[in-house]
Amino acid sequence: MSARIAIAGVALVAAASVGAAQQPSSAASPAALDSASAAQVARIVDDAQSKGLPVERIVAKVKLGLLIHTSTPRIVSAARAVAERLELARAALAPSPSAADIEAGEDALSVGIHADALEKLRAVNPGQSIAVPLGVLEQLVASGVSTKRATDMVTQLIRRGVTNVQLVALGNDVDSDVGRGARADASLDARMNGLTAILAPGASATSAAEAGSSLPTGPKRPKTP
Amino acid sequence: MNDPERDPVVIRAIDELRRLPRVDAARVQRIVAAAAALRVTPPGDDPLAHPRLWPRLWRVAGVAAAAAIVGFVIHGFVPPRTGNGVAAPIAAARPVKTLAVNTALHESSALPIPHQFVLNVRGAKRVSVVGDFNEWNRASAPMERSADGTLWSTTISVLPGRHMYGYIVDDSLFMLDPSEPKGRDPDLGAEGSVVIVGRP
Repeated sequence: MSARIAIAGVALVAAASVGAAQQPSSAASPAALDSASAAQVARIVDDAQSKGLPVERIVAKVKLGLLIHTSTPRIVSAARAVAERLELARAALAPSPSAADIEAGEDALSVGIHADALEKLRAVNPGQSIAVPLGVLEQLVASGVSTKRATDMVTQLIRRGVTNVQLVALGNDVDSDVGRGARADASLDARMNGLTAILAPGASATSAAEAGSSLPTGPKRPKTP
Repeated sequence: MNDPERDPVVIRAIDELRRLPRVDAARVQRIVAAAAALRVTPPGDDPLAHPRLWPRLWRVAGVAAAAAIVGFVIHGFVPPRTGNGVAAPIAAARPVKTLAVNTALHESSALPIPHQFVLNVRGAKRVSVVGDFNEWNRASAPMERSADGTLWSTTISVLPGRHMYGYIVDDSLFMLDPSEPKGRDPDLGAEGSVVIVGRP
C-alpha cells in the first residue's frame, strides 16, 4: 500500500528540478505523472505486489523518470519492464530468493544478461545471497565484457571461494581500466590472473580453461570510506 | 607422501569437530524441569528398588534424552557468529549442518547494510544522496557537513547489490560521485554513479 501512496505522491508532487549529468547540471522544469499514467503505474505496482514481488524498484524507476524529465509513456513502459523483469528474476533465482536477490536479478536482466545466467549463479551458490555477484556480473557486462564470458568468470570465481570484496574490486578495476581506454576483455584477463594464486584451486581448474583465462587481481581501488 | 594429519584443512576440520557446543544453562533447566514434572516417585525414593516403575522410568529417560537431543541439535546447528553479526563459515566436514548454515548466511547477507556516502563539494548549503535505494527521494538522506565545510557525508542502510545514485546539491544540482564508476539506466538512459554494496 505504501508503494501506491508513493505513486500517488509522485503523480501529485513535482519532482526535484534536476538533470542527470557527470558534471553538476542545473535545474529544469518540474515533472509529474498525469492522472491516467499514475493510474497505469499504480496498476503495475498493485499487480506486482499481489504476486509477492518487491515493488520498490518499480517506484524508484518512476521517480527517476520524473527526476530526469523523461516522457510519461517512457516512464510507464519502464515501470512495466521492471515488473516483468522482477518476475523473471524471481523465477530464475528460485526457490526462495531474497528481495535483494530479486532486485539484483532484475537489474542484471535489464542490461541484457539472460535468465539462464542467473540460474547458473544461483546453482553455484545455493542458499546464499547472490546480490553482489549479480551486481558485479552486471558491472562487467556494462563495462563491455560479453555476457557469457562475464557469467563464466563470476561463476568460476564463486566456485573458488572468491569474497564479495574481491569480486567488487574486480568489477571496479575492469571498469576503471576501460575508462582509461583498455579493452574490457583484455582488462578482465589481466585483472583475473592474480586471483588464481589467491583463491583455492580445485573445482575450477577445468572451468578456467573453459572460460579461456586464468585468474589475477589488480591493485585495490580506493573505496569511499 | 602427504601426511593427512598435517594438512591444514584436515587440522581445521578436526579442530571444528572437537569443539563441543556451548551448554545452554536455561535449556538444561527446562529439560530437568520437564523430566522432574514427569517424575512419579518422591525424590528420596529409589525407583530402582521398584521394578514395576521401570517402564515409567524408561519413558521419563526417553523424554529427557529426546529433549536433550533437541536442545543439542538446535544449539549446535546455529553457526557461530563473528563480531559483525555475520555467520562464520563452518568446516566442510560437517555436511549435515550445511542447510541451516546456508539459511543463516542467506538471511544475514540479504539484510540492509550501512553504507557511507561521502562527497567533497565546496560552498554548498545542502547536500543529499539520492538513488534507487531511497527511491531518488532527496529528503530521505540529507548529508552532514564536516567541520571545514568541504566534506559531506551520511550513512544509510542499503540492500546488498548494485545501486545507482547521485547527489543533489542545494536542491538544484545533480552531481555524480567522482570516486565511483558510472552507469546508465537501461530503461531511461539516465547516468548515475554506481556502487556495489555487500558484506565481505
